Amino acid sequence: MKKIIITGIILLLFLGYAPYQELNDLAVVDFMALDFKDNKYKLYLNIINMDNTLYELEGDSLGEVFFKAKNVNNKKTYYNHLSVTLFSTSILKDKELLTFLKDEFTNIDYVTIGTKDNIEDILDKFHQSSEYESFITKEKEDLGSIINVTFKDLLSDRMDDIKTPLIPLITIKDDVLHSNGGYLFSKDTYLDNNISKASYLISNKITSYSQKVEIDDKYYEVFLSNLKTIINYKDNNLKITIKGDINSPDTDNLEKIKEIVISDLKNDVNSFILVELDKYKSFSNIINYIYLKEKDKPFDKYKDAKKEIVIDLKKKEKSNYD
Amino acid sequence: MLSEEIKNAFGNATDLIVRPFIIDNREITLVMSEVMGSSSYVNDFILKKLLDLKFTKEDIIDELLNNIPTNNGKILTTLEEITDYICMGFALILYDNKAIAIEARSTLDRGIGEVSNESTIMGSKDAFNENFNTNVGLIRRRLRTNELYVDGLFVGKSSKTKIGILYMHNIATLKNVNDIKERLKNINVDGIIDSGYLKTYLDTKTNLLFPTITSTERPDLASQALLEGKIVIVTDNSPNVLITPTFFVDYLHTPDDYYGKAINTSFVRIVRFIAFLTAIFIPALYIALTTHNQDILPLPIFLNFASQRESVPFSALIEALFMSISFEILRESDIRKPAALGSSVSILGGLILGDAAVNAGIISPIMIIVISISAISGLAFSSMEMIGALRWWRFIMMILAMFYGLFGIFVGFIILLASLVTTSSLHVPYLAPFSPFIKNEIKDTLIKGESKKIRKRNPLLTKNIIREVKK
Repeated sequence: MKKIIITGIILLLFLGYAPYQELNDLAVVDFMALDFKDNKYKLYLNIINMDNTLYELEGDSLGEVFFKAKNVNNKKTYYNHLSVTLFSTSILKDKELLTFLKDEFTNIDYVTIGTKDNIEDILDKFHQSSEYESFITKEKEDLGSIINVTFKDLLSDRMDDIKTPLIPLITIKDDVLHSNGGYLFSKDTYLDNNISKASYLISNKITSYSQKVEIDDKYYEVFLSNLKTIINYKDNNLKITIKGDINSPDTDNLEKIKEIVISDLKNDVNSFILVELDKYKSFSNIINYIYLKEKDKPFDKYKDAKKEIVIDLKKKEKSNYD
Repeated sequence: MLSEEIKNAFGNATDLIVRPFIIDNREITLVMSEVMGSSSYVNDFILKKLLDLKFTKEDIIDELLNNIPTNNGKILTTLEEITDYICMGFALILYDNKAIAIEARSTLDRGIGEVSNESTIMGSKDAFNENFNTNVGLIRRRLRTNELYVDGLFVGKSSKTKIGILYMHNIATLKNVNDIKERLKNINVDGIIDSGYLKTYLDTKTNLLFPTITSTERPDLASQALLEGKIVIVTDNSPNVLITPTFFVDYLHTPDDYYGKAINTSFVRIVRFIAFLTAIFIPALYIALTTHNQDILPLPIFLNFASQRESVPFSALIEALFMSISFEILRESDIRKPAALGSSVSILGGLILGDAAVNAGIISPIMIIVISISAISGLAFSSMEMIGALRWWRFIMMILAMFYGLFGIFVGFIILLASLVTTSSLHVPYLAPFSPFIKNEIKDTLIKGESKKIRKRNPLLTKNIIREVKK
């Protein structure tokens, strides 16, 4: 009896046999780029464990191009370590893209960026995820004009009734990557760097950045840190308060610098509000704030509200160079 | 003639001495086994006395018994008794078809040696040997109390091996003692050559792999077990005594644990438990992570492992099995090889072959690391049976990991746990004091409390649970 039970258990085990995949039989994709050009989908895959080779595949549909990419160089493509994807703005208009990618990959935590440029020009120079990751980190800390937007963020924004996904854009100039604002692909609307930055600030997605200020034909570097945005909405009054520290190596002109920075910031936030209201789609957390409190025609309230922008920057005691 | 009958019974064995003497005009015959008896003792203490003897009574046998200096003399009447006593090393004096047996055993043991397989840093170094009396004596020396009972019996039709059941009469559960006695009495074989033979008869066979009877060569461990209420079985001609019942946690303990600071002991016990887990699960985890659940691996480790496996033609399971079996062969040859060969086998196998296998692309370096860690972890236990159990479970987990990945390991873990929970050793749950939970005993499991604070015995072993002696 015992033997029968043991044999039965072993047989059961074999019935559920799942084909395994050895590590060395996998082509690990760390970076992927997608483009739609001349009615063809183009997929670019960087295989990290094959000397960072960039593979290019073409197909009439997303399904076809990914099917072709199932095996690369006799190795099964493995997307679970995918960390950066670059989309051309042309493919972002494809409404099925997000759904397709959501279904295709179990890993949805990869950073997504877009570009208006010819994607091949960028890929000629940069096709490793680490290059993009270090660029985003540096640009975020220095200018605050780009943030890490993951595919998961895009999906959750899309699921939200009143939010629209904002994808950061990049461009290449003189073989160097630069941030290029943002793209509301569901509205086909481009935002410039300043409006994107205002959006990130209001969403508390950036807490520090630096900028150059021009006074009497001279440029001064200024650092803003510990930034925090507080939104209040009461009795049809919308108050956006941005608090933080300001610091510049040129302490003599700090007051003047501060004035300019505050004025720039106010302009940026105003522009951002105008775009948001114009498109009637939220890409910040203001509308969510109102929506969650009021739950009734939030854009009407947002539009009609009396808006007050308060920028409260304090001089930082310690220099950024310390 | 009785002497002729004895000769015939032994088939004229060359080691049987049958020597007739004329003493005071009477023919007296000395019969003894040359190998089992001590010739010098017989010459110096029996023959000398006999040759000077003048018989004054009619009952010669009685006079002989009263005049020969011995603490263990007996008149034998049947041929069966006579042959038994010759085999035990007694010298027999025959007169008029009657026999007197006088103890004249030669010392055939190797003396009290040092512990070889269960070595400790602290604590006593003496070990049991093949002599029954020495072994009982080593325990008696530690427990000088009349409460230590030694019940003896002979097992084996041909070997007639002396078995001693030792227990503390005031602590041990007598039901268990009787159960052991009953099982030993029911053994019907021609010979018990070593205590290991008895395990088969005492084991309740509730677990196929894990040991439920402890075998030890340490008298201090046996004495400690007796104080806890366990039963110790001493077998003549065996340097290992058996301890029953036994718990799973006993295999995580060593005698050293009780000789040092509790905090250090706790640390070492946790390390041993980690070694237990590592021995079973590490190769399986490696297989699962590299064949099914690669997404858990951080990218740098993923790429490192992948590059190491690049030229290996085998699957991870085959690679792991190959390495594990190679290790087992190495270990086996290491145990069996003559001491004169020194460490040559280990060096050849461990270093040269390992390095060559990696260079030849048969094995990945990481697999050598994984199997080595697992195998070395298994050796943290002194019980060969526990090492054997770990080896089997390692193989089971490896196969499950190959088919199902982490899910398979999880299922394997549940089966392992179920197997341990359902096991019992002499009617006592094997996984106690975790299952069933015994609060007081927890102080001496993975974490050890101060010895002076451990005041109670395990209630599963005894009703006399209070250790403290009232003044």
